[in-house]
Amino acid sequence: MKRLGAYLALWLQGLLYALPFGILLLLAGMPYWPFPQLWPGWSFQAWHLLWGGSDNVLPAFLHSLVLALSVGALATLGGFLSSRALQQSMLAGWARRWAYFPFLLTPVIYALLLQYFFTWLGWGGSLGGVLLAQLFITYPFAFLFFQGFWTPRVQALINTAVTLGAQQRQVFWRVLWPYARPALVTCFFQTFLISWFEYGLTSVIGLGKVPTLALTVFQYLSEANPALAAAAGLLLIAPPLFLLWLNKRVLLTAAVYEV
Amino acid sequence: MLRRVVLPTLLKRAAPVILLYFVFALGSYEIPLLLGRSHPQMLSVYAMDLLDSYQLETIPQAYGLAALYTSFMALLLLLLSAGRRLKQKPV
Repeated sequence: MKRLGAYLALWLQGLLYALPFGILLLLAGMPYWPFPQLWPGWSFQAWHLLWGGSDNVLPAFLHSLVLALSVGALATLGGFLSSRALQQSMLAGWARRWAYFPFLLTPVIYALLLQYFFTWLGWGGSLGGVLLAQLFITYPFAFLFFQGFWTPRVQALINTAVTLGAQQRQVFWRVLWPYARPALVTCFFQTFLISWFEYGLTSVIGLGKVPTLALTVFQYLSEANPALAAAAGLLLIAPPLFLLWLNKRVLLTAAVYEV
Repeated sequence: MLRRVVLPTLLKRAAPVILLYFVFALGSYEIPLLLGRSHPQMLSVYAMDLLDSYQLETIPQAYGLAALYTSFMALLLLLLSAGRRLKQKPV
């Protein structure tokens, strides 16, 4: 009986997760369901408009992809290297405390605080400016993420490799890199997701000149165009799902810091 | 037992998570923008409305609101850390 309850709860949870996707599919593929038709008719009009019509989302998709991949790679690498450099420094405590600062504020408020400086420097409304602004959030995340990585065990591994005659480069590529790979992949995935779904910061710093897929979805919603919004929304969740499937072995295991 | 034992123990354990969720909910933007009512608005939505407004005089108000929010969060953090330090101080 207890087992049945657990299964039911699991199915219910799965259903709750799947329901929004079902609604999105319905809105994107079957926008017309007039009474008294029993079933809605299929229509690919939203998809045609999305790719070929005046509402071409390809630039937005490419902008999002370039931004998320760059932000993910830079934040992960920066967080990994700087957490290693600051690990034994006297400033480590302060750096950790300051890294929490962006998370105290909502990205929109943080963007409002940054916007003046970005505009003054001429970085507002450019892809590079948005990338830098997103790094203000993702880099501290990556820095905090790797705080738990540098355990005495990792230090002992590095010391052993150095004692056995390995050079700095060999220590990095042969010892640290393979050991840190699951953590690096997880951090990259999370920072990619933060950048990919970022709306407030991108809209404030981008000044509407850097179209991303998240901004496009909100634009369709504000235009009261549910079919296009649903199609763009499905497009928005496709790359993260693909990345999740690609790295499911690493991402779906609980022990990120274990080899 | 619930009031004297269970709840205080749970609250003590869950305090950081409750604080995190409080900060997260206080500053949430996308969900209130889509599903929230137009009046009264959440603070971040209101700030963005002021910024996006065509009236130039509302833009400084948006920056002021952002500064006010940041000051409030900093004050909250200071009070919490001061309270924690006082609690940890041996009698």
